[in-house]
Amino acid sequence: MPDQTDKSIKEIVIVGGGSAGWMTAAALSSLLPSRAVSITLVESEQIGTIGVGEATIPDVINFNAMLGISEQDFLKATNGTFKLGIEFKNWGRQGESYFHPFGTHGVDMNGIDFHQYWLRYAQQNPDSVIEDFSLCSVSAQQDKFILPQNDPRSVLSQIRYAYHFDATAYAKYLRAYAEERGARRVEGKVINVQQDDASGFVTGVELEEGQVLAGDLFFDCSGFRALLLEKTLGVDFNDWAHWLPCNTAQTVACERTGALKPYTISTAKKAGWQWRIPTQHRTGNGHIYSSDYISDEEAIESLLSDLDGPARGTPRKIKFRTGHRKKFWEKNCIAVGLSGGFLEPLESTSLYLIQEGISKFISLFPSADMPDSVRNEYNRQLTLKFEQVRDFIILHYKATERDDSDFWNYCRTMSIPASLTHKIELFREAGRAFRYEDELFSTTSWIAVFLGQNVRPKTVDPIVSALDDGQIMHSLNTMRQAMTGAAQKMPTHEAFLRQYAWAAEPAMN
Amino acid sequence: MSDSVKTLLVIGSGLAGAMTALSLSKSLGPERRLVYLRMSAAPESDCLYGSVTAPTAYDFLLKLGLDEPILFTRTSTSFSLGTKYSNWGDATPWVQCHQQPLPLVHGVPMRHHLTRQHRPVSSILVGAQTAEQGRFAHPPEDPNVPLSRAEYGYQFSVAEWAALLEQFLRESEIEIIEAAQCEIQFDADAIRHVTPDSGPAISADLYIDCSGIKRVTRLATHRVLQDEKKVSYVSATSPKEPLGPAFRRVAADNQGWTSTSSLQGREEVLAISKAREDAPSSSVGRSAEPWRENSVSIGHAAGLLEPLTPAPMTLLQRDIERLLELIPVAEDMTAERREYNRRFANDFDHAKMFQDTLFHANGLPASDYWQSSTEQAQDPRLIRKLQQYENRGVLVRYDLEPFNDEDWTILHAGLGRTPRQYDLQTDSIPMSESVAQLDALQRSIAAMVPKVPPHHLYVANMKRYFEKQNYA
Repeated sequence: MPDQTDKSIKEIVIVGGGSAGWMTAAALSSLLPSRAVSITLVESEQIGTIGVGEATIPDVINFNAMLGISEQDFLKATNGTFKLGIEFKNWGRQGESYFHPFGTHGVDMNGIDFHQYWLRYAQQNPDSVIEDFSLCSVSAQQDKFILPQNDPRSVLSQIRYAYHFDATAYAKYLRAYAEERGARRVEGKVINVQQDDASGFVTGVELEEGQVLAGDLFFDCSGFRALLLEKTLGVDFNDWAHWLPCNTAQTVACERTGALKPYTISTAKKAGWQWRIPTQHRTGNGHIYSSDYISDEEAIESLLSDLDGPARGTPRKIKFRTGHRKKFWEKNCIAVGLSGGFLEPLESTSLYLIQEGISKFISLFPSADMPDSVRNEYNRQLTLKFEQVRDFIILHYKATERDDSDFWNYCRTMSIPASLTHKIELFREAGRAFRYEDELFSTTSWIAVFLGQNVRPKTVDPIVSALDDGQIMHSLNTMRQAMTGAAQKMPTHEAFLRQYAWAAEPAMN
Repeated sequence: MSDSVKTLLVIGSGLAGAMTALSLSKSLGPERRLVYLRMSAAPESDCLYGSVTAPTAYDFLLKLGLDEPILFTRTSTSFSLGTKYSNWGDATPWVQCHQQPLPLVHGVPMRHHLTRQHRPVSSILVGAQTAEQGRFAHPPEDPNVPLSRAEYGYQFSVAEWAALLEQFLRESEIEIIEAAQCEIQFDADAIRHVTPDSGPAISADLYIDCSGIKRVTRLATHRVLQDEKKVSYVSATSPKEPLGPAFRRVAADNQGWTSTSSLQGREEVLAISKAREDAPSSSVGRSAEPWRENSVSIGHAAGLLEPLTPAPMTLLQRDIERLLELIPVAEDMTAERREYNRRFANDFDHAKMFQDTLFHANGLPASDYWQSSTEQAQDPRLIRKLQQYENRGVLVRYDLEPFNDEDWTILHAGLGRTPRQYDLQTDSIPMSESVAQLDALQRSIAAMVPKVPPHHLYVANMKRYFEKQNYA
């Protein structure tokens, strides 16, 4: 549009590589014509990235699809495996476990949520667990996997999945993708940031060697350092440590042993929890804890004693702060990734929040003068995203009966956001759960955690209680048989991956 | 069951009363007692539910037993593809039609392609074009037929639908008590019991107020409506044959606006103006808390919007659905009440924003009605929507809005609002390709519309078919 040429963005600079930096570079390079807009990413090999075995949620499929990446290619390049959900161990009570599947539980009938039927069913079948009605869960328990079918009449249409993969390899893969589309990578360490005196807009970043990268728009993908948003522009941080007290992680990979599991395992521990993420040739592990309750030594020991194979290398420590930047977008700088905020990966939302940061930016793509209205809308949307994910994660800590450590005593009794209190109360009354339109986690997700962690409704919904018992029992039994039957016929996860997208050799890193 | 909410009392009359009582009776089990305290005269203000529904009414009505054979043979209901606004400031008259999601073209929303090609939105609206030519047919399932993208609601008479629903109620199990008036005994903010003039006091665990703008369960001090603006209304019916077009007509004038709906055998006219001495009037706005203690207000008793769009009917439907989702189970109803009030406020405000956009047109008259309407149309959330659309064609959305992206796109376009810039992704698609796609779509619509039968013939044939089915 000719009347806007002088106001359009021509130079974009991304400060920092890693998942956030390269996802941003890949998305922008695929959408923006390289003749009109130049994209430069500066990163330093001296500064490590935080990528470890990464678990994702199904939205990552949309991101890859937007880039036009082939799934098989991507899985081979990143040692990727499939993920059907997460098994949570010891969260509600010690010794208990439950499965949070992707997709749905059962099928809603007559406009009434499935879980209401199941609550009726469970009154007569007290041993029943709701995940018996999720195809993702049933297949995962048997280490089976198959891609979903499009035909809505097939039970296989209910499969939803995401991936586990090596995040460093993913960044590398996206780097090649972005460079092929004209993005330029500059090796170097930023030592100074230049700003316009009048507007405060960042005009360029200066590298150690003296080179200056000028730009109209800057992405801060510098990780927890938040070089632009915090160090330069002084945007405050909204700290959520009182709700999510964990602040440290120790991570280590180990040899993969046993069957290849199509799901993540999250085990609650004395002062935090530990993840187990299977990729094709090794397993990623991490212990997330609060250093106020246990020492690093104790945390490392606990991490190593719960590996299911020999460790590869020594654990790496990561300190983090939970919460988000009060503004993700200030002046002409946008924080994407850890510089914008962090929520522990209990529900594998790290890459998703990066993805949202990028896609909301694309939908609001500004002119170079960056009107306030655009910035405000971006900040409103991203803050909402963080808050919604936050509430869901807090639920895991709050809905517990554990009283075996100071950490759990704190979590069980802490005050929680009013928005979450309302959700819990509504569910406790009569099993009601409502999803906000734009909310990431579906009703199924909330129900899985509520029920898995023993938040039981006092009574079933009056509307369901008016339905015929025999009919409900019959429908649910039929549903369960269909799922068990379908899962039995599937190949194992490993067999499926071996013929679909097996990486020939373990990636070296 | 630990359930202690046993008796529900619906108080009211007219459309809201009958619809609520019938919906509850269809959903609640036999262990609950449902009583309808029917106040004999329907409120005069019932005409402010408007005479038109959105497409979402279809499923809702079906659950109540109101299918098309019944609606078309027992009432003067007709189809509505949308509403045509004319004389609306400087805007060229347009049909605000109901439209299925507009297709993506190479992954980019249609509206950006339209902006890029300077092509009017109406050129690809099958519902609007069909309506303008006075035609109608049920949208077919086959996605290859352009008409499958249209959606429809109904033009109807509030009084007729209320009478029909009352007849269903009488045929149901529900306990009905007739009264001309009732007296309500409060205990602080909670209702202790209700005494109809026709009999003894009734006490219930939940009281449901469907008394329209009388708002019988509200203490005077609670009659707080936000954004108050007062309007007068006059409604009239005149015989008309044959059946008019499948859309409602709304025309602005100096005093306010007039709506005309084409029903079978007649036209219904409703005129809205600023409050006058010689006509009934009502406040426009909503209650801050429609559910207080043990009483919940439904429909006009909770809030009122002028029927400038199908919003009043959609809001009534949402009130009832929300209540069904949140039937309380214990004496302490805090959790249900809070959720109900939160969603009510959202639904009402979101619907109002859509209507308020109509007051942001250019060139509207400078009279009192229009001035006060524009002053009341300044919700900052709406201003953000308008700005974002003007900037880059971004449709800002809030939680579960009653009007969807297509409604907003058509409304913006109707009012002559075009984005300054379209989404950048659009440029990655060669212009020739996107022009070719839209040309093809436009051609297929233009070729199909003349083959659709006129509305009146379609309805006549459909009724003949229904009758044959009956006798078979």
